Amino acid sequence: MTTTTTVDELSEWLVGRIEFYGRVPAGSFTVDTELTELGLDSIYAMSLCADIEDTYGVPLDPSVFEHWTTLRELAEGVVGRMRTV
Amino acid sequence: MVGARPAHAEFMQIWEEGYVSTSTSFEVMHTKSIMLLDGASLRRPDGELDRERILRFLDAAIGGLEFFRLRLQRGVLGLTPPAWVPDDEFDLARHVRFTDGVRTLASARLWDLAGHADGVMPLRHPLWRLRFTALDDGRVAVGMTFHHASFDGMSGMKLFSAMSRPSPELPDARENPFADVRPARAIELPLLAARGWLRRHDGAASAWRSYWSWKPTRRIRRLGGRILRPLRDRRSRDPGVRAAKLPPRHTDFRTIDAATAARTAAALGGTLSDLLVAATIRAYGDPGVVNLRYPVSARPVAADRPRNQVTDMQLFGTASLPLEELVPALRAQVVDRDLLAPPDVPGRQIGYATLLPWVSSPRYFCGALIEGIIPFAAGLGEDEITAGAILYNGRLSIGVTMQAHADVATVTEQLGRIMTGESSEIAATGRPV
Repeated sequence: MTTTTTVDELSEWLVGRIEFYGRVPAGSFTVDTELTELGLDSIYAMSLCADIEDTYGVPLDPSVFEHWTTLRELAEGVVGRMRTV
Repeated sequence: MVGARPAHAEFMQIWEEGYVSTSTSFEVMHTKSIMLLDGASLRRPDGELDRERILRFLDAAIGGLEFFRLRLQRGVLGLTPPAWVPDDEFDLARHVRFTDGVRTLASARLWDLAGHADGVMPLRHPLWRLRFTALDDGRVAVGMTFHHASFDGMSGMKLFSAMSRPSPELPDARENPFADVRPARAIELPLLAARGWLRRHDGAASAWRSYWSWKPTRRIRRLGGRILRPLRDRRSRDPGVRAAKLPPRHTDFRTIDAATAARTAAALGGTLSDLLVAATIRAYGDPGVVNLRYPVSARPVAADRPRNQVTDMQLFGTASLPLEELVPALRAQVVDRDLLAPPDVPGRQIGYATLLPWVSSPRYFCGALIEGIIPFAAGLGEDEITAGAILYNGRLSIGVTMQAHADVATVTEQLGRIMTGESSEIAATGRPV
């Protein structure tokens, strides 16, 4: 984890995770696609939070998805939290 | 003479006390799982486990984690809940076992690989134990025994993250996190509890009002329960009671592709968890209405040392219902969980099901790649079936436990096939439908 991670880098990483989960076809979404269209049910929301904490050291509760509704917003939010640590 | 180090204690929550209230409940809540490791770096050229290397890694990876150094301390006269205190006689090697020789995963009793034969953990020391076994396919099985009093599913996943590493390198050793404190003694717990209570409130007046917001009868019942615990424990040791609470059980497991299962669940209108519950009901194949206990988050996650933050709801259904109807029906019950609660939930309770999401990237333990974790959900001894699943690195490992007379292999096989969409049939165990 590095506090110099950019929003673009984190966005790219998030895209990779969503593709790995296999809930939606690779290439069928962008960082501005609504999270509700990415197949993120409660289980995968928790898994994504675990992945973010595991990789970037930022603990997240799935309730953040009520406020960050796209991968770009999620990346911006996580990077913002990284910089306040 | 009391040492200069301050006393340390973390009090259990109300709902956790039941897990340790009697010797039988304590034994029932021993929670087991098997971690499968790539054994290449953990075995000597002769195939035997490299015990020194494993212990060295364990010392670095978990010796400095608070969870592994806390033991249970009951309060004097039952005036407070039990508390977690540092084990001043902590010895990591005490909690680690090694199996001589080599075993086969397929034929070995999974219960033995998980450490069941090692018996009940002593309360005098931290409640965890690892058993390492070399397997004939080159892998190493790590039987993990923890106690449900010290964690729930979600905090357990965080524990796995803390224990493991993103790479195989030996981690830097960490200091004893309790070097500057000492274990609180039983007689100190009431004062520590009172101080903690005052700190959580805005002044003595606020604390006083909060204290009396509980009905006195409720406090008296709790206190009475603790004082009478030895009597209740004596009853729980009755051979007939123990036989009913701890019947012989056996287990099986399946590992499936998580994305395939997730697409199957989505196509049916539910989540992976919904599908697990539906598959359990369907594979079990009882012709009547049954229900399963199912954990849901009950409380805001506490900022400090959250352990058990979930409560169980009951999901009901019948195996005769097609999956296309059963899965959405279960989803609706989860969404509207406040509408129906015990004892109004229909059906005969048959057991428990839970699905835990961990990370989707490879992790390493003792320098070896974690290939999977087979969970055996902490059910009640009288449960007819428990199904636990962990989502890790793109795979879903499902551990099923049933009573010894049941056909766990057939039910587990069918449960896995339902999860992947290969089949929707009830397991062919010969049970009348």
